[in-house]
Amino acid sequence: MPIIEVSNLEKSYGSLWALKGISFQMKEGEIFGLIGPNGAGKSTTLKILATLMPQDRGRVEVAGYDIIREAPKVRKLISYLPEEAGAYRNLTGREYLRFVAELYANATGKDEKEMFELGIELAGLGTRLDDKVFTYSKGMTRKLLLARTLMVVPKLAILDEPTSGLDVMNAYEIRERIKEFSRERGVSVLVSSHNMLEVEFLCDRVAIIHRGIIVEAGTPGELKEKYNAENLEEVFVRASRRVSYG
Amino acid sequence: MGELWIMFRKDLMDILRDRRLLTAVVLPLILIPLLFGIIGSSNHSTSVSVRVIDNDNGEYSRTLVAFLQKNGIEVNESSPVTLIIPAGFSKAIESSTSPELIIQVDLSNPLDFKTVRSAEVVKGLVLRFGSGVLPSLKSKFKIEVGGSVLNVEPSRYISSLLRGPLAVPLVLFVVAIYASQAVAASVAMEKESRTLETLLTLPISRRSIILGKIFSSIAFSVLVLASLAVSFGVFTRLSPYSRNSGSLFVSLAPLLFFSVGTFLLFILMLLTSLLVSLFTLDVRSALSIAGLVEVVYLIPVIVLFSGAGLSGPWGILVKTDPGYTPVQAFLSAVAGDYFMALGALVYLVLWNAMVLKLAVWVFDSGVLMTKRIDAGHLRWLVRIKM
Ligand SMILES: Nc1ncnc2c1ncn2[C@@H]1O[C@H](COP(=O)(O)OP(=O)(O)OP(=O)(O)O)[C@@H](O)[C@H]1O
Ligand SMILES: [Mg+2]
Repeated sequence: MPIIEVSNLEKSYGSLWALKGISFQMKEGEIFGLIGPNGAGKSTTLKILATLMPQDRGRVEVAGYDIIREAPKVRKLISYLPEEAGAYRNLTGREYLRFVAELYANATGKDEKEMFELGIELAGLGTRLDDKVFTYSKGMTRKLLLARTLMVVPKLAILDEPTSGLDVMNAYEIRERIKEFSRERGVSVLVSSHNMLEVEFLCDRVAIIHRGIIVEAGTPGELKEKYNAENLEEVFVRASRRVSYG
Repeated sequence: MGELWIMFRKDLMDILRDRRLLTAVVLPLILIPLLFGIIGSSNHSTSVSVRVIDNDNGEYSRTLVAFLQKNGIEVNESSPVTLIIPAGFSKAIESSTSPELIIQVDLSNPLDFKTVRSAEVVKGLVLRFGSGVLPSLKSKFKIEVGGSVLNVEPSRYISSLLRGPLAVPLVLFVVAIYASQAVAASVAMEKESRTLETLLTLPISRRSIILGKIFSSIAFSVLVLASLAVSFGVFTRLSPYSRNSGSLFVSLAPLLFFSVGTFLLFILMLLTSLLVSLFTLDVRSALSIAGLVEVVYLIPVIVLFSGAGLSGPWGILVKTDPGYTPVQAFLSAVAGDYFMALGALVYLVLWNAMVLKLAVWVFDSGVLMTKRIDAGHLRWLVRIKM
């Protein structure tokens, strides 16, 4: 059974159709990349998958559960990192991680302590973890949120531009972590990104989305071959052009 | 229960540590005196009538009655306010030995502030009459409600009610004002710090999210109130009325209905504040909006305490305001109509269920993600209110 099954997904914001019927499947244990230019509809897709808002048309299933009718079941399996997010300003990083660990432990029966300790390790904030979140830099907050997302070892992690705002070292480390996590614990990861290097390193398969339509999908190798390109960046530019100019 | 408790603890910690909530502590300090200011200052031109029992039938008693009539008071046999002029009244004035008048007030129910007002008007006129004839002229009050007699001035009646039988609803009311500020702030903080999106994808039910905020806000406001009470020594003032003025006895059932009604209204106020503040973008506008919600629900109480009548289309509107329902439950229970009293409570429960459902719907429908609605624009209304 695929972990994600999306068919003919459509979504509008008022009169603007952000998604015009996209379909894709994601296998369990896979790292799947959604790439596309600004405003293509990546975040919109991820929000729908994260049960934040219902789609207008089409079917979306996560692990066989309908995203609308069975949203509470879906929420136990996923962990979502929004594109722009924060943590509770007046809590310390440690308190924030504990809050989330408690919630997941309560809902799924997983071991709270294990998740919490994994979170502390993933965050890598050292003693700063005991400071209030409002004293953190942007990158520190991002690391805390990433740790929060991954520590619960979800069936499906939904990461919207996970490394945005992180420096090279941290971004590198996080990518390694995500990959390792997926391999070792069988976590499926859906990730959106602008960074083609990142996507090429991380993803088993990618889909290129442009103006609410998926224009290409396949493994990075397949796509490079098809477009006779050196790297994904070239594929991305050519595929997007092809749509833009007919 | 588990997830609600987790949510409750997180929210309480978050709001207790937020400095901006000091505003939430200050606003009620303005709002409450304002409310009582309105109650105290309102002067209605509604016709005041009085029943006169003239046991004196002398020169001065007739002058007094004429004086009252000249000042627009109707002498009416069926008025709930009775002025008893004792025998020998005129003689006492002539010999300057401070005579005593008795003003007896029969309240149809403990919340019959209209009659209390009338008695106050009569008293004012009697004093004016006295200042022209004999300054030491005294009047004594007897306020009768459902069998118990209270010897207090009409102006003291409301405060003796609030110190006595209505103390529980009063405390609930103050807690409610603080709590609805806190709940609005708590929601706005989720939006401001961009945690709401994550929260809505965590494995926790919408209902627990909402109730976690409601209960933590109640806990917050109880803490605030307790600390205020200690620092202002409010407890010493609220201590049992010690002056020998008789005490007002209201039977238990109506009070129970009133307290339960006030509590339900209180939860409704919190739910509404929560719902509205979902559409604000920052803590400050959320606090103002919560103030507005409070006023909407408090209009009936203000109208009632000011002694205005509740008739005509306005009256009907005020009576359908859930803010009136606890009073309705109380009055029905006083009149022995428990069916109606229960109905009033059910009405409030329905309102609560409706607003809770609406809030859950707002979360599920995704309007918070797709639409930009900024209720912060309504802040101008709050400014007018002030
Ligand atoms: N809340 C909203 N209200 C109105 N329009 C929106 C809203 N959110 C997104 N859109 C529009 O929907 C389209 C898709 O947006 P989306 O955020 O999914 O793009 P994206 O691929 O994530 O872009 P980026 O790379 O910049 O993050 C855009 O045209 C955007 O303007
Ligand atoms: Mg995006």
